[in-house]
Amino acid sequence: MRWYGWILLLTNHLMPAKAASDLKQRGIVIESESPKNYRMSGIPSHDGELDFTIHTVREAFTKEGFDAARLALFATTDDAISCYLKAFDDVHRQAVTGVCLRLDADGIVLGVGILSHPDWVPVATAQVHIDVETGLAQIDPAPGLSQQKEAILVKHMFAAIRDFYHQHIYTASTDFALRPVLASNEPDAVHGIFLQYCAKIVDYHRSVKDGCAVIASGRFGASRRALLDLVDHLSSARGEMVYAVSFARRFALPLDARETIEDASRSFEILKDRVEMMASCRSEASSHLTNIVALLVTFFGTYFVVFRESISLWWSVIISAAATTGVGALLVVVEWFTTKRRMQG
Amino acid sequence: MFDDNECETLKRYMKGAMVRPEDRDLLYRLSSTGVVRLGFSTEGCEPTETASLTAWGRRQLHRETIYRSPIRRLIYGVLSTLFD
Repeated sequence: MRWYGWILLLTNHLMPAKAASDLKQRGIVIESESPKNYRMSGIPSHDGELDFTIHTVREAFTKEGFDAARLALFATTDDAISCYLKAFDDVHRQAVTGVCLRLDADGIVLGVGILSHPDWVPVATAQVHIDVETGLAQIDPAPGLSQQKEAILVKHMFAAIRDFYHQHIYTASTDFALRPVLASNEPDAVHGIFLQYCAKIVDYHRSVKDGCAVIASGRFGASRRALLDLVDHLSSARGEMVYAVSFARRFALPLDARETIEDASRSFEILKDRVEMMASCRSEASSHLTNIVALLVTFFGTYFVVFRESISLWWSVIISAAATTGVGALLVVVEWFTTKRRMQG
Repeated sequence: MFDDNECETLKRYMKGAMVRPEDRDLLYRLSSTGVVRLGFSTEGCEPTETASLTAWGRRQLHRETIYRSPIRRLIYGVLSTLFD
């Protein structure tokens, strides 16, 4: 049994060369081919909570770290090593771990390792074979880990490989939209990944259905922000389906599998339209209600202020009505401008 | 979005926690739709899996807790009707 993971958008024409050139331009490759002339740099954490600057990583990564990475990954002198620090730990948020990748001259990942910080002891290493035609990565972890630990660490080693190719297009490095699968051969691995997409289709539909049900019930869930969150969620679902279509095409999945994904994609599109329409209606309803409240407050506010000045009742009513009309006219003008701006852009 | 059991489970991972074996399946499932992010801790001799809710997951859980409390639902309902 071997571990396989699919790295989306990784193709021979697109990613390895792009990733390698990006790294060189941004000075992220840590060690050049010549050991005498190594440069230290790093990738800041994607997590947000921990803000590692390049300078911090420069300080943290020592030559021993690179040497340990080279040794752990059996790197030859022709291979480049890329290392960075990453916060994997969601409990002790200040804890960081070293991640190292062994790359060939074309920017293809040949090995990946996780090293403890600051003593650079290998926690786990793996050899990697990437099929650049399909983006399928085969990960062979070094022996010595229990089954459960291997499952945990392979997932993060897969994420490290994915992040290497996706650092300029993929943001959240600890998200696992797709997990690596344990399979005896490549077709089984492809089937395992397809099953993850099927589960994802069900989960997204379920969450949207629940969200719509709460909104339809007229409870607090009908807030505009809740609806916009749902729109955002559906955009993610649509994005995932675009990748799923790419997956199905790349691995030439059977027609019914491809149709499942395409139907789900269309379904998400329709749902997104529907929720956007609900958000728009909710926005208008909220705006009308706010206007009514503003007019009522103006009328009664003016009435009581004017009435205190010992003017007759009828004059108070007339003045209040005039003030309310003025505010109403102002609201209409504001709404006209808002609508115009919305139409323009 | 989440049923009662899921809410109770996810509350534990609001600010990050070690993954309990009985929660693993749920967390893996929710990680695929961006509710949970997964990590690991190397403290001690063995790596242990950790999980934490994403910003989106936290917002959804917050809404779920409001739905389940009649008083909070009423207050948030009035406020969101007027100002949202």
